[in-house]
Amino acid sequence: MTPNLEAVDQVAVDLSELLTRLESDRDLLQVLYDTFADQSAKTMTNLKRACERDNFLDVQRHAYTLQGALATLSCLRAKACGARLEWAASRYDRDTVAMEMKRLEHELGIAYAVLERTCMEVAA
Amino acid sequence: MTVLLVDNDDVSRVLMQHTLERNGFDVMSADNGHTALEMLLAHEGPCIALVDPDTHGAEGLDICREVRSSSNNPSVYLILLSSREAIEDMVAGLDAGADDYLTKPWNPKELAARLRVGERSLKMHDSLLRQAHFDPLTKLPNRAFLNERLTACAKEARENPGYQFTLLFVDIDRFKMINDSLGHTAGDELMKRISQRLLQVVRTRKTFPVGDDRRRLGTGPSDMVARLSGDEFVVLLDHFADIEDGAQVADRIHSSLQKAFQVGGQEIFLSASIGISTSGGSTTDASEILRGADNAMYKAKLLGRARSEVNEPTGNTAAVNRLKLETDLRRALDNDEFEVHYQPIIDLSGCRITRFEALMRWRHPELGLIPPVSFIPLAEEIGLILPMGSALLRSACQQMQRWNSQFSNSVPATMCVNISPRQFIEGNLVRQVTDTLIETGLDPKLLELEVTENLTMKDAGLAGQVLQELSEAGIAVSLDDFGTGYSSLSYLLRLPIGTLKIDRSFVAGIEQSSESLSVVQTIIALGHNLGMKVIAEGIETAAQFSLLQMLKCDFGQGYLFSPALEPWKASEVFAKDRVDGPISGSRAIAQGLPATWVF
Repeated sequence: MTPNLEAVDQVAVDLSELLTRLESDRDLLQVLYDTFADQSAKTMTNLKRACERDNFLDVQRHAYTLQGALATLSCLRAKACGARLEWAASRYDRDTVAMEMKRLEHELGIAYAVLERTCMEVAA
Repeated sequence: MTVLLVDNDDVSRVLMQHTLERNGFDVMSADNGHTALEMLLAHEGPCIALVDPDTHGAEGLDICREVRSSSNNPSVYLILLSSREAIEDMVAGLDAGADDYLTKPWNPKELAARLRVGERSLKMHDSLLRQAHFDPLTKLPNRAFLNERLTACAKEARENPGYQFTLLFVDIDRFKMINDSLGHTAGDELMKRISQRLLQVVRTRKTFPVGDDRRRLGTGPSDMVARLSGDEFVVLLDHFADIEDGAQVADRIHSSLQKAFQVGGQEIFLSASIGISTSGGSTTDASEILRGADNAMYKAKLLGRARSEVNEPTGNTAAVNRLKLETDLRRALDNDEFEVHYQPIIDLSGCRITRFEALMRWRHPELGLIPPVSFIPLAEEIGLILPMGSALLRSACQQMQRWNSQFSNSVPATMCVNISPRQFIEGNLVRQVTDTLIETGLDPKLLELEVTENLTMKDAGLAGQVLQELSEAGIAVSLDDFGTGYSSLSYLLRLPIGTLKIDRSFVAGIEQSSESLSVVQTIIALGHNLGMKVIAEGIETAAQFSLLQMLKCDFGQGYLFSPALEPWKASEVFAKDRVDGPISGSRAIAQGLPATWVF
């Protein structure tokens, strides 16, 4: 784990809040992470397809669904990206949608990494 | 308690399911709004729904609005769980009908606490709903619930020509008397048993006050038995158009109620008057159909009780009918519409007629012959019983005097005349009776006045005084309906009563019930030990006749021997008895022949 990544971690996923809410139930965290990994991959595929087709309604809907999962797992920065993406889609702002999609993908990658690492630490 | 999760975010659903199961809730899940709505409307009983307002298929807010406006499932506690934190979103959710609003990420402890609030609220709501819609004694739907269901059925009948329903208005005959005799605790118990019997003859499913959506009641017809008040019930027959089918259900109710009820160690026999009305007539108005059934029930009462009548719409209400009956009664007295019929009372050992009971009948110009149970209570209530009773007494005494003069060589018979409570209390009875005897020339020994057990117990002081005066005037008194009230034996001993009449309800049971047989046996022994004669009422079968003979009952009356007869017919029967010996029906029975009455 690099110091840089550690610094980003604090902002990307509020692990402390998440573990408090889950009462440090690491098994539950693993189940939630597995569900999230599966669901978010499908949602991102749907989002990309909706962006390609300029289907802004679908973009809003998928962005909203993803926000729920991200909020549940305390992925604060990715959730904020999802909210901005939904907002941009509601204004049919193609450029901002494209920009927020990239940010979301990036933040989602970080969230995966943090959550996966946390699950692995527990397993070890 | 069941919780329905409605969210297309799998992560939230998994965590919610985990939280709910840990807190002891049953969980149902839906990932789209359409399925959620169907599940909510089909679910029976209270539940909590956790809904993300942005669920695919139907917006969560629409789910809230639909559930609240359809009134199909008012027992749903709706909690919105949203990723939107803006105050406007929360206000919109609550305005749409949600009970609570939470934002993601939610804390499982907080969610569990909010669910407990929901659970408490639902329990309170359910309890209020039950209080408002169900009768606390019988647990049957009450008038309010019936009205809701009736309104829904009437609406469906208007919108769907293929749908019809039938109402049976069921009124238990003489229930007030039973209640007064047995006491209210036993009366309540009896009411519960009656409810159970009514439920057994209809097709019911678990029903809730759910407004007009039939999906919630499941598929296919579902009847309803509701208790309106006191001894009045209404049976709603769902998808019943044919009045004949309704009449068949009414017959099943009559049969069901005929079986003895065991309450408070006593055997009670009941009957009901039933009015039938259907939505298939000229109206689909719920209250008119109910009024129609009520009117028909009233007609059934008027025509002698223990029967069913079909509504023939006239627009009259029960109140109007009662007013009409009151007017008709007053007119009947002026128009001489009352007749006195005579029922022979047989000496059970010799099978000879020894007495007649004088019974008033009303020959109504439109309805025909009306039995006393249908008009005497009203006559009593409005005071008309005094002139009516006086006329009955005079006619009966005149008739008896004529018969005894006609058969002066035979043993004279006695005339029994019922005395109503009002005559007893207000009518200066002793003076009236002695005047009538003088006027008609009848020997006081040949008149017996019948008073009820309840009447003598109601005002023991007055009863004792009047009975004593009658006794001093040489007029015998019998105690009618004996066994149905609460007589104190020490009190009975002090009254100058010559005869006990065993109530027909005991006689009806002596073949099947050892308890009824014991009661009858005890009354006969009691009467004899007190130096009284005993008359059994309502003898209908040869077996009852034989049993009563074996028990040394002195006299009997009932359909086995003869119904109450018009004067000319009674004269014929009396003449036969006096000239030919024991009356033919009794002779046939005594010889082991079928008990077909041959008057």
